[in-house]
Amino acid sequence: MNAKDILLQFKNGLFDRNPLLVQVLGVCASLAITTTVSNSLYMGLAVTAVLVCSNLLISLLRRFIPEQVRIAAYIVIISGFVTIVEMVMNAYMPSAAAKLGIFLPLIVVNCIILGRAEAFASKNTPLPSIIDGFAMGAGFTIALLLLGAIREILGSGSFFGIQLFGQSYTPIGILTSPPGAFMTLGCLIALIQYLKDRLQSKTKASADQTHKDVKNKEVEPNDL
Amino acid sequence: MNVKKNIAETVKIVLPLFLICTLMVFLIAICNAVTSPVIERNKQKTFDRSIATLFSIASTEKLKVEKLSFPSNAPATLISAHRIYNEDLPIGYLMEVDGIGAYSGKIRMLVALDCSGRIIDLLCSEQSETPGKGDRVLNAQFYSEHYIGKSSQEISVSPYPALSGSTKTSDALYSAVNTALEGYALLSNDATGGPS
Repeated sequence: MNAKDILLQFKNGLFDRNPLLVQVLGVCASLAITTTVSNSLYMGLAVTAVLVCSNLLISLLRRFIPEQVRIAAYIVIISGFVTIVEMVMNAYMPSAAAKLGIFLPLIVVNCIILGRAEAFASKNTPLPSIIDGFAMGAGFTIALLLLGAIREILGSGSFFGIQLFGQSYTPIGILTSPPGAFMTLGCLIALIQYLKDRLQSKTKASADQTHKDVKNKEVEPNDL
Repeated sequence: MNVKKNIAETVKIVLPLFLICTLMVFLIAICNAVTSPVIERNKQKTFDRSIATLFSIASTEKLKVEKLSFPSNAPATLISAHRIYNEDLPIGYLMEVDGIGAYSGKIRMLVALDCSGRIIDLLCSEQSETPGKGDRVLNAQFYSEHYIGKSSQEISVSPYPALSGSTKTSDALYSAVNTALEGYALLSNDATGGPS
């Protein structure tokens, strides 16, 4: 595995196959938790920790887990790591654990983790699986942070709990409610799709141009 | 022969799953051994800090907490009751209560009462309400508007304290406060060392 592969995995996780903005996975907890940026950050970090650990163990045990009970085995592994993350957060980050509340144990049912276990970790060696966990976790965290930042800044007029605007600012209250979360997520998905399309058409245009240039060069000697 | 084969096949499938479960239990047990003392310490610290905050005491060093036993007819949502002393002088009571019917189950509240049964302050110690939504009623502003400084009689004649969009949490908070006041009343009537 070289640096190019690692970069490609991170590009996939952050942009091309972003779990939240492209694959639209783990939406339930994401919509509920992103009322503030700090909640989004804690959730992102917790999911990343579970993703990395579960990907590593599933990858190590991939030849040992029977095909018929693989989903049950993955769920046991994932729920075990979620319990561990919950214990660690309760011990060393109690305020963060209290903020996440019920959504911390609910990471067990987050489709991103089971999805990566089934699609990647069960078919690859430990190192790429760890990197995949980090890449997908980073993509999910960044998407949550974007969502949380928009909702907190416009919906509450604050960022990380710090008031940004004066008393004159009227917060857009709907953004802190579930319909606001759906609208913000929809807009972000549309923006990502637009950027992806633009990037694809640019790449296609430059490829066409290179193809034309090569053709012209091939034709030139005959013309002369 | 077939039965033996079937058993062997089943064992082949079940055994790895059993071993994975054992491995995860082992990992959780190790993590629990490391984190549970820290969690307990955090809980005690939070409890002491909560008492100091609720009773507006600068230092927890001179604080004395006496756990009270309450009668058998006390509501199940009354978790614990404590008499609080500052420099050996009783300054009030702390009721740990659960508010039922919240959006995500229950909320656990610490209700500080003075010696006459008037609410000094409130603090939420456990809750799983939707961040930024249901938890809007679990803050100092809402408490001071609707509960702080009030007695049982005053709360019963006041307008119902609810916030639009957080009605279920408001209900749970109301039930928690009433349980605390009911607990105080029960202890008042009880001769076994409650408020006199």
